[in-house]
Amino acid sequence: MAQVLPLQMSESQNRKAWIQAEGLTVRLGSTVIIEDACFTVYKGEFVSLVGLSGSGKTTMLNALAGFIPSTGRVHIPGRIGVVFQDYSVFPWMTVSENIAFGLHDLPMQQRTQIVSRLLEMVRLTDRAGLYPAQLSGGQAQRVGIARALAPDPDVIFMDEPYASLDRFTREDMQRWLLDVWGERQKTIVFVTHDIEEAIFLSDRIAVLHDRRIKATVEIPFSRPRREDLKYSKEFLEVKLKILEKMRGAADMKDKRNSALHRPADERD
Amino acid sequence: MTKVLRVSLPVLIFLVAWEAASRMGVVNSALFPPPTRALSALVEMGRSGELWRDMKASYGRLLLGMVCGVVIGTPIGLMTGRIHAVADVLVPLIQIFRPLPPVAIVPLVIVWFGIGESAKVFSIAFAVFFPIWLNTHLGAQQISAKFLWSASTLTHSRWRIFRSVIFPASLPLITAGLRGAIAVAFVMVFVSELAGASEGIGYEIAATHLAYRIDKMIAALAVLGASGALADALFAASITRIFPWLRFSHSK
Repeated sequence: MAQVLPLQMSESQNRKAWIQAEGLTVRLGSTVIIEDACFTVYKGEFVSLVGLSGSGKTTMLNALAGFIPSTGRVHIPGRIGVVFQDYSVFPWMTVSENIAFGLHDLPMQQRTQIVSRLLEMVRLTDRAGLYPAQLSGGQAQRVGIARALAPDPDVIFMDEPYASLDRFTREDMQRWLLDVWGERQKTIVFVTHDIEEAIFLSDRIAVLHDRRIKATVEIPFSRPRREDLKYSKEFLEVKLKILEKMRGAADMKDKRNSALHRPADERD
Repeated sequence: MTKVLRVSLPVLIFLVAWEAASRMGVVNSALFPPPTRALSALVEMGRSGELWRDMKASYGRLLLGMVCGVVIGTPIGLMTGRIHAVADVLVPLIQIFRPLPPVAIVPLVIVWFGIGESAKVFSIAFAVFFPIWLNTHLGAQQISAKFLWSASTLTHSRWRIFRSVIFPASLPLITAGLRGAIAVAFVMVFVSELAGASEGIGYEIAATHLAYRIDKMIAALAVLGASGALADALFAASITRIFPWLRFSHSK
């Protein structure tokens, strides 16, 4: 299991390193899923992990969050929150009970205040007494995010939270998440296979391939970001750059595989 | 209205066909008395008070046996489903007893407990324990890790996770186990009353068999069957009242 230690603040480019992973390795039996990954996320940063299916994005997130056994070192400051694509809310609790679940240590009055503030933020005040099954997919995900935010965590891990939503709902949720992030300034690690989503939301994108982080790409766009940014030439350029990194990594793998499978006398 | 008709029509057709077959001599009316005669026997049993006495005795045993089975089976199922150390110790032991037909232990239970109430309650509790345990065990075992991971980021209290996450997440299968257990309990109350009982619906069926009162036998069997169906319907209705979210879980 990776050691999850209290954060030792280190300054880099005037930014506080908030999550630091060194030599992070995850094995499933004899199979290595993540190998010797090094990863830093700065305070208040929105970082996305992208990669092809099976590249280990979710495993990386689960290892960073300490949910699965891993080796190496992970520095995380205190409390974390998590939002999954499915099972993100408890179906046996109402909307307000879900949000209040992480607040049980607080006095009732304070708990009620936080819940009503978050209900307002997720635009579900009139749905407080409903069960998740009575909500739409987007509404249920907003409850999941509100529940993760309720105990005021230092980091939020989000694993493809919008993957099952239709395009319009997803875009609406992206804009909403950016508003919430702008308001709360939480450090977010966001896993997605949707490159446009990653670019639109993130400060930085880490490209995973072949068990490792192959590249990180800084997103040059200022905030707040508007929807029409997605149709700009600059956005497309960043998208192509990331695709190149992903494709390059995949091509390199293909070349290596084909070289390995060629007869020895045909090899270079 | 259409639903009422759809549900009651097959029963009505069955009863009318039976009545006609018995009265017209298609079947021997001494062996297959018509339903109206069974109904008269039921009224007679009700007037004499024996029906209420038998029902009270049987339902008392059944309820006590069920409560014992639930109180023992549910927590053990939750623990064997979630705690490996407990599963390692208890599951092999339970699996040795599980294939035994509960009916087969009745003679042994009579040797141990005599013919009193405790023998009957034990037999019912023993029989219902297995469906309750198995379903609870599987329900607790199949909880998505994501529920538990989410919960671990929101509370450090293991008891709270057990009470507020593991138990409700297992509930759909626990209720399935309880419904199976209700049916088993009705079988067992009948079987346990066949020997060494002086009252109860099972006793009534055995006694009327010796007196060759087939109409009374059929009446008692009808009471037993109807009670079982009613108990199941009541349970299904009350469980979704206590846990309203199960309505959505069942509809999926």
